[in-house]
Amino acid sequence: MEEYVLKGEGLRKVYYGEGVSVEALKDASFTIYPGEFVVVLGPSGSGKSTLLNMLGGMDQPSDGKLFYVRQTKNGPEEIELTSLNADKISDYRREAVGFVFQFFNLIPSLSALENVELSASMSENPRDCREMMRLVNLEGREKHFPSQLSGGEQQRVSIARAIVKRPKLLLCDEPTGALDSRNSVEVVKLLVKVKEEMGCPIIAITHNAAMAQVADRVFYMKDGMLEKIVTNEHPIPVEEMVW
Amino acid sequence: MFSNEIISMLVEGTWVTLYMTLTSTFFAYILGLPLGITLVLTRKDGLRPNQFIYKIIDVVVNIVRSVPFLILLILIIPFTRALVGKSYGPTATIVPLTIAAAPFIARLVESSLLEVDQGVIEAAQSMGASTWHIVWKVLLAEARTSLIINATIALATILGYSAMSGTVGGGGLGDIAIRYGYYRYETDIMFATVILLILLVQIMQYIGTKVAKKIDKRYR
Repeated sequence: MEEYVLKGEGLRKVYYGEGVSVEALKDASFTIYPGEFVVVLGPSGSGKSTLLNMLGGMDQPSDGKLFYVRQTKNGPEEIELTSLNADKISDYRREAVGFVFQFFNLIPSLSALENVELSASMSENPRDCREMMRLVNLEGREKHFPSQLSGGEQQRVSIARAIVKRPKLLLCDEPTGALDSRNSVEVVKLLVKVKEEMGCPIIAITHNAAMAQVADRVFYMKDGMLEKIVTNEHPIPVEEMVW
Repeated sequence: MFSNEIISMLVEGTWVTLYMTLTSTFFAYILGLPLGITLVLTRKDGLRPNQFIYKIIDVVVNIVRSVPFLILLILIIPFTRALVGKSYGPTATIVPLTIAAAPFIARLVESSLLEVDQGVIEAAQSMGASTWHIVWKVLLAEARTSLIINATIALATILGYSAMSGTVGGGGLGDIAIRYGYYRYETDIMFATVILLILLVQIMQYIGTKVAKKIDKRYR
């Protein structure tokens, strides 16, 4: 079996409104490999979020197939995500997917650490929550509530929350979209650090081309089409990234 | 101003009113809370959309809420009698109070839960949280301040209903106001009951606001 984490074949998504239908994603085929940093680049409305939600099991395609390779004791097992029912998809999200959102989506009434602990409580084999806070450079801020943290700090908590459960892939929806340039660079640095430390592939969607400089591959999207996939032969070190 | 007899009657009336209000609110929440949660879960964009269940609860809630309390009180007398053995007095009044308040509470719970940020729910879903987990750890936990504030509104409303039940011998302060103030023209006793009712609402409101503030960690 080819070594991959996710494989999409002819993925298509049509949204039906009152009397109108919108084809948000048209025939997207691609493979995601272990340990790579993929940046999905495209303007608003190009289908990036639709694609990401599909990869994360938050949305189902109208057509096409999506496969996930799960590592088991007996070796890799290929699962067709598009054939699973809602409960099984929820299991997939719990086991395999870490999600980072543009607006962080932290639970306001829980402290930073409690937000991470909530995610850990859903995992069978979570990492140490305090260690995750250290990893995202937020040691000492564990008891702060989201409203007491800056945007950049909140995003770092949300990254800690996503990785505490040892995800098999990390999906980031415009992770720097709500941040200033300094915090954006910090978040990208952190994502690269996570990739290196955990070895799970990271798929980040953005409309900011700067992030593509550090990616292993760049998916270019336009009008719902996955126009081209470019391998970045020489991704620059994150320290040299120009934002 | 009042004889000892009247004072002890007013004190007892206050306790009876509190008993009716708190007990009915408790039972109304046992019915209304799950109904409110179900309304939120089964709505079109809910976590478990189910138009059939949503419509049934929606219609039943609207129907019960449309019946004025005094009429509901009389309408369900046979049911009340079957349940508690009599149709008048404080304990019997708890039955119509509960039935009248449960749909109101269902709507209050629904509106509290709908205030929870969709993004937070999406985050919980993305973690693979079960529906029950999301309801318990996210929806109810996040909406608790609003739930407490709405519970205070529910208490004040049920207190008002309990006073109304005085017209048909429900007991409590409303009963005293009707018997003495209305039938016997003893206006001073009626004013005393009104003042006591106002005090009760003020105390409930004060406690509700305090508790809501204390558990609201969002703005600390």
